[in-house]
Amino acid sequence: MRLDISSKLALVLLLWVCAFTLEWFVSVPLLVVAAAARYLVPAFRPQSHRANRAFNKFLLYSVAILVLLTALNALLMPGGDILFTLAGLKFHHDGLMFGIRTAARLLLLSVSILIFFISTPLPDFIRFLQQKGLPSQLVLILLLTLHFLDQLPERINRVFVAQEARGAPVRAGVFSRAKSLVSILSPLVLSSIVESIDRGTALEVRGFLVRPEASLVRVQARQKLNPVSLTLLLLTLGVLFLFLLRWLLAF
Amino acid sequence: MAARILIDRFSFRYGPDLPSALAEVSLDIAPGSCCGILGPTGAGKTTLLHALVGILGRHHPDSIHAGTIRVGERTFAPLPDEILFPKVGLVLQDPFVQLSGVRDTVSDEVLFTLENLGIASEVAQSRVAALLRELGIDHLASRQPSTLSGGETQRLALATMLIAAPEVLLLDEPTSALDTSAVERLRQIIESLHSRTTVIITDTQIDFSLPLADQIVVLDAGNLRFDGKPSDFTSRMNEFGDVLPVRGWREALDRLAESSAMQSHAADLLGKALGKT
Amino acid sequence: MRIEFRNVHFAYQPNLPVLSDISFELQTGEFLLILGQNGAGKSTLLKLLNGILKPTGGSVLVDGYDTASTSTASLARHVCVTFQNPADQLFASTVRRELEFAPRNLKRPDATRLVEEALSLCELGPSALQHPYDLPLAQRKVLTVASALASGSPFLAFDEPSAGLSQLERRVLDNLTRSLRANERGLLVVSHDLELFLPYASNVLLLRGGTRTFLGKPEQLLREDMILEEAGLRLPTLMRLRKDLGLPLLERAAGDPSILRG
Repeated sequence: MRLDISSKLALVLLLWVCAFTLEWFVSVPLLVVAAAARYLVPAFRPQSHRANRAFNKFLLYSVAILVLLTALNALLMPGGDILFTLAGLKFHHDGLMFGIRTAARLLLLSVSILIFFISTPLPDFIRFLQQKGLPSQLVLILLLTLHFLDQLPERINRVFVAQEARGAPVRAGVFSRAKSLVSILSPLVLSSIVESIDRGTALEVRGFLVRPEASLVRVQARQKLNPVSLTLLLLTLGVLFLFLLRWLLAF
Repeated sequence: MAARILIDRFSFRYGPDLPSALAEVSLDIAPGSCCGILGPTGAGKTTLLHALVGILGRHHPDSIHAGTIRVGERTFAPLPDEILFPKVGLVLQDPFVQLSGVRDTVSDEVLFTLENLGIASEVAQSRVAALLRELGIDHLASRQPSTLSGGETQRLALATMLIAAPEVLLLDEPTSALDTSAVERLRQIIESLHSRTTVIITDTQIDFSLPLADQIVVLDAGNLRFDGKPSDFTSRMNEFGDVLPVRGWREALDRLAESSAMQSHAADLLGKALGKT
Repeated sequence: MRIEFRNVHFAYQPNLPVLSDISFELQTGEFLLILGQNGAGKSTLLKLLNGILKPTGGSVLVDGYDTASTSTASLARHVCVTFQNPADQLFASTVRRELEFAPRNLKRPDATRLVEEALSLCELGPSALQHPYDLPLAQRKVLTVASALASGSPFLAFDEPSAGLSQLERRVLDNLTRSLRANERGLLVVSHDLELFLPYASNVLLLRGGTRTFLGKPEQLLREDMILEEAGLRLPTLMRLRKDLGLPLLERAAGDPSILRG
């Protein structure tokens, strides 16, 4: 069965709730579920090569950062046995477990959001939000933010090229790129904000916020919740209920 | 269907400590006519357009303002604080910024406007197709909006406005990103709107508006320095040499006046500017 | 010193050539104006100039260096290119720092002088300590041109530098162009603003669909207006009017950029 956007969102919601409320080791099989969705479920396939590359890059960087954070935790948080020593640095049990637990949850959170966005084109998502009755103002903000994030890698690249054109060998290596990135982030965000204001104005003068009740997109929406979404939402509620129950019983 | 614009001593200041963006500007623009508002950057041209469409009032409720603005039948004192679309349409200076980013084809992009107004898409499809043909971009109907050139994007932006049949169409420096043939096409489109729609164009150059406009206005630092017929403007052009590129024109127009028998294409083009209708 | 395009081909994808068989030469002290409809390949040509893009056929030589085997950062020493959108090119916190970027990276010993010259030529002196985004858009465009100027590179290339500028900034550009010609810099400008740049051009390159349809003197181009029409361009109203009236179209004297007198 083809999953629609509400089902996909319901799945993401379920994964998020699990990441927050269930034991950390449940995050691990759920990560497998998310990965399976990405590769096996048509609805979650990346919509373009660019999205695919973005996903892989993100995964790589996240894993690298999380490993680093976990190691730091293990080094700096004393407690429990010393599990092993490497080059004179002592890795503690408690810190390591804390790091792994946090890393598992964080990874699940980010991967689940990512599989949604790489497989859902922005126009479809916005149309979906409007159908569900989200206030136009909010949709506008989301639209502008998502557009900004979508354009960000390319804009960064263009600034790098501009810097090269003025003699700075920016693209030579990771470190020079990272250094340049830090310095250009602020003007980049600034110019994006300026542009977003203009884009927001352009949408407004096209009647985007004029008469939201009359908006055809809303009028057309007469969808009943499909069984997949329903099941996922019930599961989510179930998990939350379980979490609350255990929390209450702890008293 | 075209609306009259009547601005009476309109003044606007973005904030108490800021200089006047517009000072006691009064304008009467006849319905269905074309008005060219000329002036340097910072003169207040964009502020005036934003005031007319309602953006200024909406985004700056704490501004300091005075006067009245009348658009068609409605009078606002001092300025509209709701978006007047579809009565008033605004095409921004940067055409790319006008793309919604939420529609995949050129036709859908135009339809988006109608959707926002609650108009059914079966009815709309044929209107969109006709409009795209009129603007010469029907061959781009299924293209992705982001792949269009500057001139094509601008015509798309125009289409998204014109589909709502506005009574007033505002164009903010429409030619800055266009090559000379795209400029010519735009001129023809605007000419075709005459008497159907009141058109206001702002520009820092004279070239585009002079042959086109029924009324020329010169704005400088928020002040109205000239408001009148193109032929009056051409005879007083030298006064505005500090803010507009006038001198090359003066010599040419003098020579044209001397050789009144000349039947050049350019002279025909400037008929309005020379006092011949 | 010279720039050479030798039978340059460029295509993003094998069956879609953007530029075909483009050849021309430019020496320092010369000004090449590049004309063509949007989409004719002009911006691509500029990107081939400093190695951002490498030719898929033929070669581009800048002061003897083949762009195919030289990095953009190294080529910047010889040719500095600016593009249309200032937002992609401004990244410092003050105007002065923006101007210092190029000469510092290129390790120019006279960096300070270059920055001061750029500030004064582009009339940005009063805004030297301002944040670039506090300047109006038109001045930000001038700033990108000034940043290239401050690089001290013998060749400069600008992509639509006058688009969106008003009288004040056009006057700045006009002064700048005149000054650069006088100082023997090499200049390439892509622009549809014939009134502003044609009087200063030593040569005009007209592109149509990625191929060269004209390379020659401005006077020749103005005499043969069919060439322009075939390329999908036309003379601006004022120039057409003056031509019809028999008034000369090109002036190379100082003063008002709108005066076109031979």
